[in-house]
Amino acid sequence: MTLALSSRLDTGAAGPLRQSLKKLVEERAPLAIDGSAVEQIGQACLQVLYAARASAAEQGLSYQLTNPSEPLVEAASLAALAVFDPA
Amino acid sequence: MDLDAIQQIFFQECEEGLAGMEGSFAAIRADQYDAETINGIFRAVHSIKGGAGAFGHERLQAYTHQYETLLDLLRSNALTLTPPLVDLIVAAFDMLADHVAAARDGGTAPDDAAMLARLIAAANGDVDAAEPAAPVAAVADIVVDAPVEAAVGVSDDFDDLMAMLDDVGGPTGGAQEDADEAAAPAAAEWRVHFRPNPNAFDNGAEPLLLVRELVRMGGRVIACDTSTLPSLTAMDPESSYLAWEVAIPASVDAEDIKAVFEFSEGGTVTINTAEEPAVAAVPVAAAPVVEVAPEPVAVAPVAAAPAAVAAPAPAPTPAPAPVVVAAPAPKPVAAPVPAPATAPAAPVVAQTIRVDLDKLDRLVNLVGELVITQAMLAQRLSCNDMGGVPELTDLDHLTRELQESTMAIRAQPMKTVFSRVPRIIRELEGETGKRVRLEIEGEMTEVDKTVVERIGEPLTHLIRNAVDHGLETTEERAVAGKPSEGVVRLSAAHQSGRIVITVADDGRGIDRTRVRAKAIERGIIAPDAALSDEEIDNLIFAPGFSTASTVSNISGRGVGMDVVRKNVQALGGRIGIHSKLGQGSSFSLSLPLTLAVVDGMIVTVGDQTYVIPLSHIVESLRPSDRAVTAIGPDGAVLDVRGSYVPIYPVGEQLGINQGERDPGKAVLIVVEGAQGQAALLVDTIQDQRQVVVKSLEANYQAIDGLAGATILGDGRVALIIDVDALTARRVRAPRPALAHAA
Repeated sequence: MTLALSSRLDTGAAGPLRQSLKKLVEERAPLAIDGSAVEQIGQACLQVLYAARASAAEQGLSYQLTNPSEPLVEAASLAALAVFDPA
Repeated sequence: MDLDAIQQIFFQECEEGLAGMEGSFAAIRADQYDAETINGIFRAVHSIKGGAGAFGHERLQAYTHQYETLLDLLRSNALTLTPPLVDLIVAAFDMLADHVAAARDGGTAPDDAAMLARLIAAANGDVDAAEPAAPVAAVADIVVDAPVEAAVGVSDDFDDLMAMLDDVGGPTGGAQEDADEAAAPAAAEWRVHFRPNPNAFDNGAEPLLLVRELVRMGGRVIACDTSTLPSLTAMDPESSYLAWEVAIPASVDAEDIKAVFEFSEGGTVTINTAEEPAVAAVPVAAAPVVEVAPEPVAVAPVAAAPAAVAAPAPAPTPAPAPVVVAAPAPKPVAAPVPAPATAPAAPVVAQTIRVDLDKLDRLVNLVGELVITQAMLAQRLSCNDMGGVPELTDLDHLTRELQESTMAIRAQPMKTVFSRVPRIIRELEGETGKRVRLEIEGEMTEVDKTVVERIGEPLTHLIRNAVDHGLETTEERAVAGKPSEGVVRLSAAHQSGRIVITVADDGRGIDRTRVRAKAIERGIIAPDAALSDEEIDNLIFAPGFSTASTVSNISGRGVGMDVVRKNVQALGGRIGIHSKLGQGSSFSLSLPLTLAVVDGMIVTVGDQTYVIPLSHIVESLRPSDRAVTAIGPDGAVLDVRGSYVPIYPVGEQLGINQGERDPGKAVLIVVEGAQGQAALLVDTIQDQRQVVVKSLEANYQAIDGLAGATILGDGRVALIIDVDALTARRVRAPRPALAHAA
């Protein structure tokens, strides 16, 4: 199952995003994330994604963020955070 | 804040800048300078130019423009600093000071055509061109240039001045912005380490926007530090855990970089220069210093991170000092605002503010009142056997401390006076052909502003005297086996509640035989007078005394030293001489730290109480009948160990009828005044203590013979005697009969 990121990933969205990702990790489900809808993303959500990627690597789970939207690519490169490919 | 007030600040800045430059020249002469020294001079001139443009001082601006051009070439190493070039920039500096003074006082600007021509010639590599052929053409060039500069200056430096009002950080003050600008090209690139506070997301803030701003300025994010990011389970999704390292081209003004963080939610920012742009992996060249934001809780944990990067190795090339910005506490502004020049500039900058002197004087005055009231309260309580209550002692300590602290606010370092001395020395060197090395010590010694303002003139006189009379000519020094360069040593120090300023030279010393002969010739002393060495030395302060065979421009008019003593006494000070023939002389001025409080002797005359300033008092005595000799029908003199001193009955001089007239029953206080020694006749001496001076002029009107008033512990007003005026009055208006003289 793919987790589709919502369009607006501001600080307020970081809590719910963490919950969803945490749940996947706890269920030992592969982390397949779709980033096509993202119009806006801030540091808080990027942090969560990065932490999820680290957790996935730690637990031996697969991680992939696919179809990143342009705003997402731009934000991730600005923050110099690798969030697309597995760690 | 109107234009005049800002202009006022500009001139204060100029003063500070000029003083700083003087210090830099000293360093250059001592061969203890680096690129930053030249930079400092350049920046000071640049700031003056900017302000001059903003306020329409075209001559000053045109002049500084040319001066700056030359300094810029030195700064960028296009020219090498040779001794003739040093002489030129120092000479140009003197003229700059004249220009500033002319602009400030509305005077005529100095004739700078020749100097401008020399500056231009030097900028073209021709240092020795004293008077190039076509100075007129050169000047014309500058005049054409000026208006354009003015237009640029208005926008730039006016902001700078406005900003100064908020940030009067260091001696360079508003020049800080220029400082970074000036220093930047020397550096490879800026390295910014930015770690937002954990609560950086509060109020919807987005630290990433600040990173974006840095990138927009041309920066590139080198790395994101995720080391403090907890696991997905442990993390708080609404806390910031990241930190970034951003490289920014050196061409970007550090001030602009700082401005990006101006309104952020708090965090730690260090701005450094990278030693080599290529070595991207090396974090920073110089040790970053961390200054924490006002919220200690928020910053404390992250502050440790950049500190860990600290490397003691300083950059071999003079890189700008590491700039550390602690982003201020939350402010409701989201977007970065362009370049407010008020960002904290250096890690540890003494914060200062400018305060209107009137406000300060009001405070000083109120504290004075408090001291008096406290004394009255103490007296009242002790009358009721309650003098020993512990609260009274506490109050006493507190008021004393408060008074000292208030006085300390008015205190200024002697540097403001001392910084003018090198120029005086240079001029004297030129006039006398002597070579002088100036040594300054204790320039940071602080003393009341009034004293600082009024000590300049006597000090100048003493220095002129030291160079002109004290030091021998180069040939004479060679004969005497001394180094050809004479030394004038200027020092200031606090000594038991007073400031002692010493002007010493290693010259020929006072030739007492000559001084004595001269004094006899001038009729100042009797040919057979028996004088101690000290008394002979003091003769040079006598009115009309001069030993210079020829009257020179510099000193030797015979008005110098007695004026010096008079000025020093007017400040409540004393002057002392130590001299050794062939080894030099030293004049020390001992001055009170403030003029608001004087040490005085409280005396009674009739039913009145007066205060005689202690600085004038030589001794007090109850004379024997034989010591007093009547002179004519209305005068008397006191025999003080062989020399005769006129007696002034204070009561008579001030129109008090009940005062004692009989010297045999009274107390005589021998004072040293402008007219020489005199004996003041008073009824009794009550006490000796510090009194707070109240101005008669400000509260009533000036009264001849009185210097001011004070309020005593019992609430009564006591007048402070102006010794000089009182003893001078006698000369003009002799009073009728002294009742008795043996």
